Amino acid sequence: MKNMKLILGNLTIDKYIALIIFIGLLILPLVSSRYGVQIFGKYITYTILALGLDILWGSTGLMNLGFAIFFGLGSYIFGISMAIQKGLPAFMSFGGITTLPWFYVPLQNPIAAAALSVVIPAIVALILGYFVFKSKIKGVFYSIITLAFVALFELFITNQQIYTGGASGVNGIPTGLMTLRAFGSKISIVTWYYIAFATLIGVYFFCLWLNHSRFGKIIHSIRDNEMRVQFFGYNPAVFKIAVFVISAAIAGLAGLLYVPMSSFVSIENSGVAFSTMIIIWLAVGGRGNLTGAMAGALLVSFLQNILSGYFGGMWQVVLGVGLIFIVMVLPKGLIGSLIEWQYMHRVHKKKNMKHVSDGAPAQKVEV
Amino acid sequence: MYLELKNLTVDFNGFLAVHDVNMGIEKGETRVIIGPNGAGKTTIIDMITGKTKPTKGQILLNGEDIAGKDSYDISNSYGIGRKFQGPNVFDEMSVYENLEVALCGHTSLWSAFTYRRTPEIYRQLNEILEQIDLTEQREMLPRFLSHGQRQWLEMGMILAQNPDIITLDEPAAGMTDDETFKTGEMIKSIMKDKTVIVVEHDMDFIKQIAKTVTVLNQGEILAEGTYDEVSHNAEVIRVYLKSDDEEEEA
Repeated sequence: MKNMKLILGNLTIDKYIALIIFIGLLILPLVSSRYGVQIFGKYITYTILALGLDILWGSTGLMNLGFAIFFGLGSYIFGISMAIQKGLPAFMSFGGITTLPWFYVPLQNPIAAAALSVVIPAIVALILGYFVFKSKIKGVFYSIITLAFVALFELFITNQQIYTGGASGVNGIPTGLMTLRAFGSKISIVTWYYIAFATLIGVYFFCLWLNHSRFGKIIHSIRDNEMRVQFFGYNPAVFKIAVFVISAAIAGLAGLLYVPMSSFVSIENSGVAFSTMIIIWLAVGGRGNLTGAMAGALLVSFLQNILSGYFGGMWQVVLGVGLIFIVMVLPKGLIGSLIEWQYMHRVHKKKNMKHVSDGAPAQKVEV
Repeated sequence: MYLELKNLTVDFNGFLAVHDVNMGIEKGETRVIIGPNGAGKTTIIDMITGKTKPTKGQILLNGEDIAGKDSYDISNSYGIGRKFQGPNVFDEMSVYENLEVALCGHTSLWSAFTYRRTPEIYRQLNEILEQIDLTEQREMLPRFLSHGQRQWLEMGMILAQNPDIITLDEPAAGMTDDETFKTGEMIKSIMKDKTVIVVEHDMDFIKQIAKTVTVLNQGEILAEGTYDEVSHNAEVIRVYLKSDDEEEEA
């Protein structure tokens, strides 16, 4: 069964890169300042968010131009919960509210708020997904509708200033959530970092399992040949809704973990611009192999930090040029291209070892 | 009558691709539909499998009208399977996984998460691999298979799906003569308990598999009968067989 090894490969290069990323993130707090921990803690939540979109876009082929909605919902729910721990936050009392609105009452319990910041995005995705996929909206029309959703979400948040903080966002969240205590002591920022890190590992292996399960096979089939799948008796809408809900829950989880790192929640991390940013991460890193999403999120976010230091407001132009370069030269993204290169390399090596017939039995079989 | 098409008409913006077609197919029959390009053969398959909704008419399966239902529903609830024109397989999955995705009885969302490879499933899939002669290629990606093997893989997927009615759209297209013959034998042996509807061009192949042949021309039925009847029908020779020969000579 040499051809089996050749075709399926052993461990592909993306797994090694994922391992390097994980080890790097694991030891970072030992060598970095508190500021670095906070910055990279934020990036970890971005990589979780990117994994969520990779399940949706990479594995199922559903490019979502408004994916930040779910991240935003998660971070707003948990952020508001943190902001109301010590009475009414400033943006509410300035708006003339004297008592906590009824719909925020459950958020006074941080545990309930944490659960809701995962569940609410999933429910919203279920409702949106039901209407979009049941009515068989596909391809670019689906993508445009998701863009409309995020634009509406942005408008809604900005207009409901007394409830959401409007354009200026939810502030007054203590850094590292000093009000939260575990076993009688405050949870430090480093602890939060490792909570986010452990979640990243968990989400990565969950996504890996998902891709290799029968469910994964079916969503890949939907991505590659939706019509063929239907004639085998699968209802693609059901599977698309399911994957939409799962990815939204992952994004909500990422949004929740983002709050202690940033101590500030605003539309900047929930709107159209941030949605585009997630798309860029996956375009740079590559889709469908999980590592590409993580590497893209880390690399672009890190470069954003460096470039905005050098170029100020011009960094986006630099990023844009880089993006165009990658999309044109490496359409599969950095990691996707590496996998391709490794695959071709292995095929050539096998060929040189005179296993040609094993690799291409097409010519061998004559009836 | 097991499967009955009644006054079936489809109108593509004024173009009548299929016009008032009536056809009855008995259970266990192998029916071949032939006709020149644009005669409406594939459109009829499209309507039976739910890809195209008829403008008018009925498709009765055991007396129940299935016209206009969703294709996944027709496949799931009514047991109608389809092989597309040209191999239509999943290129990023191994031969074995391709068969696995097609496997019947595991199409719900729930079973997508609870599915396990049981000994029974192994036995079933290994048997299909034998039948389509791809046992050795089971772990390969379909893009490394020959054209004929890819066609057989899709036939195997239909077997795994295990429908009552199988529709085959040009199963021998692009095959060598040997492969075509082998495909014909495959259809005869492994699909003998099934109702099979085949759209084909190759007259030798039709002779090999068919008892009843329906000839379509410009969306309407031109003739119907045994292979010998149809192949000697003057009208059929004029619009179909003759032009076919001329094309070959040209």
